[in-house]
Amino acid sequence: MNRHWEESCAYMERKYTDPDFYQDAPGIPLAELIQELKKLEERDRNLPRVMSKAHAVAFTLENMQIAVSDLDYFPALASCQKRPTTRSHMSDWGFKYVAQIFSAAEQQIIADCRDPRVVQLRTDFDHSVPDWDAVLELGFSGLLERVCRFEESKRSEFPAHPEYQAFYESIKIEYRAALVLLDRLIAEAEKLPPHRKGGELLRALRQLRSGKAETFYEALLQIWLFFQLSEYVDCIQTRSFGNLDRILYPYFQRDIAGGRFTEADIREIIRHFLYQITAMHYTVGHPFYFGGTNADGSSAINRLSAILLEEYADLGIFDPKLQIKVSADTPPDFLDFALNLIRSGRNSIAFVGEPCIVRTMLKHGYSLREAQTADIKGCYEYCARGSTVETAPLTINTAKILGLTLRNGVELLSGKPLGLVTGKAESFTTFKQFYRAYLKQLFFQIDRFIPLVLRLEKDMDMINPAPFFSGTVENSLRTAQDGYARGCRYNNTNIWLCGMATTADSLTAIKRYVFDKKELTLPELVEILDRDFEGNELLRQRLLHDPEKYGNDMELPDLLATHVAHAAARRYNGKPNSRGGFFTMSLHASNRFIQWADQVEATPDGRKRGDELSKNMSATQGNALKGATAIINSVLKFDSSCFMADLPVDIMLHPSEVKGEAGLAAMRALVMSFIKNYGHAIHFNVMDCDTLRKAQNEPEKYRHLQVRICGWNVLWNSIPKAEQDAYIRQAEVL
Amino acid sequence: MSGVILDYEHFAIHDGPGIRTVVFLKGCPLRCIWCHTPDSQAKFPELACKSERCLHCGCCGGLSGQLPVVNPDESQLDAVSHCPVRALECRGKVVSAEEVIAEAAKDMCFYQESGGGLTISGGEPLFQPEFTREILHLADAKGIRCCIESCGWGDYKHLQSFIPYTEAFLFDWKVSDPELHRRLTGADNLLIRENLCKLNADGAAIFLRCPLVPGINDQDEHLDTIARLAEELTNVKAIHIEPYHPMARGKYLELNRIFDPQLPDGFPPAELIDHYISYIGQRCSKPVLLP
Repeated sequence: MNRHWEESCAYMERKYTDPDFYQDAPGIPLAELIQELKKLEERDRNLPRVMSKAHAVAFTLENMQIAVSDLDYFPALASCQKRPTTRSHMSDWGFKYVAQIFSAAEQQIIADCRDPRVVQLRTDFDHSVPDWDAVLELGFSGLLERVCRFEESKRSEFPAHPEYQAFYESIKIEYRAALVLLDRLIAEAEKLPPHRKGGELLRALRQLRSGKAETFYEALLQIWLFFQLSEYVDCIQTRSFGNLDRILYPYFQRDIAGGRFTEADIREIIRHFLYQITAMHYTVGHPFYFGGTNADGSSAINRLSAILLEEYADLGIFDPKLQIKVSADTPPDFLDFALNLIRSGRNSIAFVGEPCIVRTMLKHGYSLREAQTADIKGCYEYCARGSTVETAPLTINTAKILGLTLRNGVELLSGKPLGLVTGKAESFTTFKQFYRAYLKQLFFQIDRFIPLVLRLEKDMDMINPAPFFSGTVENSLRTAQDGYARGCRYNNTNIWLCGMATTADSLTAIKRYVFDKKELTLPELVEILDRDFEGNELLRQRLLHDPEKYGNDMELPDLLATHVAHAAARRYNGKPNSRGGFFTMSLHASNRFIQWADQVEATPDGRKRGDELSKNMSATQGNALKGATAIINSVLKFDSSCFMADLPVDIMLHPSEVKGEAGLAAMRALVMSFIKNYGHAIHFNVMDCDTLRKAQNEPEKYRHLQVRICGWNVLWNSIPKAEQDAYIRQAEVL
Repeated sequence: MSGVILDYEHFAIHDGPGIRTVVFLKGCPLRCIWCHTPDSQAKFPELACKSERCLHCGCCGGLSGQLPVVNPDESQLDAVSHCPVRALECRGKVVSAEEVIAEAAKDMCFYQESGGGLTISGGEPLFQPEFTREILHLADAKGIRCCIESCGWGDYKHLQSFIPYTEAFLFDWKVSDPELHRRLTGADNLLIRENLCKLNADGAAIFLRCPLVPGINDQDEHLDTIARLAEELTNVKAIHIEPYHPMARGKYLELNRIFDPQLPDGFPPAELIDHYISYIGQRCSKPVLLP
């Protein structure tokens, strides 16, 4: 790594983390800016919110502090990560909106269910991808012209009822302000020495000010600026950078062929781009994805894909989070490169299956083209490119639903009757009765929250109008409706079910121990769970170590997991939402599996209060006892087309399981078997010796960890401490 | 037909090509002092206790303190089932060949993608030849490709009968000197060598698997013989070096059996493993690999 690069890295770190970075920069300091924005909000109170927002965005772009440097290809904007309009406008709007649409009683229900982590209702603005093709094709000025054309068309269509006026006007205000920001940045860049980065930056900014990007660098700068303004000024409207290798490839080819940039130049620009994202230290990561299939049916993996991934590898960074959209013809070399990264401990790459996406989207009425060109938009979720906003406002904790079923609708920790009266524990004489009661409780919660979701999402532009995003969505421009509210062609709403494996394992334990073997009665079990297994540690150990758990390709727990999920999918998939789309079920836990654990009482699978819940559709921690193929087999029992947003699985492997050429080939075969059999998303964790030490200290949490001894694998916990020590010593020198 | 197996291992990637399921059969004619799977040696199920996991709760009626127990009776198995943390286990169970195939077939999609299949290992497949043959027949009918991992000690007619259904034999060559072989494994290697040569003559694909224990069986003469055998036997495709590791020590403790004190405490250094590979590699044209 050369000295210049080290200086550049230090600069990029400072730009995102040093509170004094903007001390001498032109513009209004952030705190002052927010005060000014609050005054604006007061002033604009009688305007449509979209106009108020546009004024705030314009004021921000015209006045916030900015900086450019010869050390960086990308400018610094003080708004990054601060989201000033969130503080001045949206938090208040959100609060007022909720107060307006929900009665006091409804708000009480929402809080009662939220606090003990039974159900979470939220406004979700975090799962969108703008139409990056349009952004690059048009640039800010072209986007502005397009808005004007659509406005004109609308005016000729409906001259007498100009309700659309504020919609178009707000977009124009924001895009014009983006051009003002470009002017400001150009003025700053003109002060830089004209050689190397400063000169390149100035030329690129001037090009973007006058039109669309022509070179690779200009295209990447356009993407970066759009992302910054959409996500951090207009706020939370760009989750993913999209399919970077595909959208940037024409620029790459042209620059190389025309001698505008060398591959080394391109690599340097990419390094700066990637490092920006790392330096931002954004907690949940901003993703981009590789691959997929081109319109002509060929793999979208290209030379640029390799360069992007190589530079990511060379930087040794963990953010941005990467996804690879895998199809049957994804080049094995590219997959191997990615898998090799994962083997070396870079476990931030997820593989998302195109066959699953295509099948699922066709089933839900999307066209083949939309299905084949779908974007990955969040962690693993997918959507029709340039025409979708999908939200995830409702998360149901299936493990808490089990608690409600065991206690006749009463939530243990609060003592409140949050569920349905489905019968006291002693009233269930068969497992079937109990299971039916469970589904009733589950459906009761979803049923009663769906009307609240419908109201919450009916006017999302009352909380966070999104002109910057809407301007990229052709359907939004055509219909003059906010892109987040209902302007997109596809406006679906996902319902997340979390804790599914914990629930399946618990239902299995209830069936086996209470109804099959009759080792204890259901009331006795409830009493034991109420006491968090205190005084019943032996029973807890039995439950915990019982091998009949989801994720091991076993009949009963897998059946129960799939049955609960499919029952919910059958009931709610396709139900209309309030944005012109429909509901879909999703099996995504996000970070709830750990964040919610404290509020989830002991469960019949032997889990104590506070222990982690299961994550996504993985086995519960420590219970994938039969290895990678077994857990994949369990996940493949789900009909992935019923879970349009998410059906991800996380698999933990030890480096010894996947070492050498055979290990790499095996990893690739795992991915391809999963993908070809319509698996949705798969993610590997390959553990190192530090992890092994943790596994030694906290064996219960790592009961599924396998190590390869020589000719076979064994579970880490199945070997005595002395051997574990030996293995750790060996791992230390790897 | 039924047989006794120790266990299955799914996602095995070093016991034949691709992703494989390994079924470990119970019973072995040899008693190699370094044996990594002592719980596979007895033909019958055997009790084992992971003492570090044991809560000493008494749920097993004290059975965990009475090991070794081979071929446990019903009351002992019942006691095993009461162990809350599964520290006390019965290693081995009777299953049908159909059950083995059903278990292996679960991973069919991985075999198809990776070129993998089922590996019958042990113990020693030749110790249950009819059962092994039945598994091979059923696997063949199901389209599952099989490998056999064998120490080679047994009636050749059985090995020969496996050939049409076996993609490759992972054939152990442990010690070259017959007398040393007898001392270290309990039997000389004359029959093994004879079977290896016959297998080669009958056209079976063979991978020589050579466990090497520093100071025990890693003499140059042995390495020379490995190279010579691989060179002479035309159907030996490669040599797999299996460096010694001390990880089996715990298993002996679990069975309440003695781990041979003459065995090394640690892993062989990487340089020594490199030496094995380069030494043999210089003396034969076949690939020398670490599986």
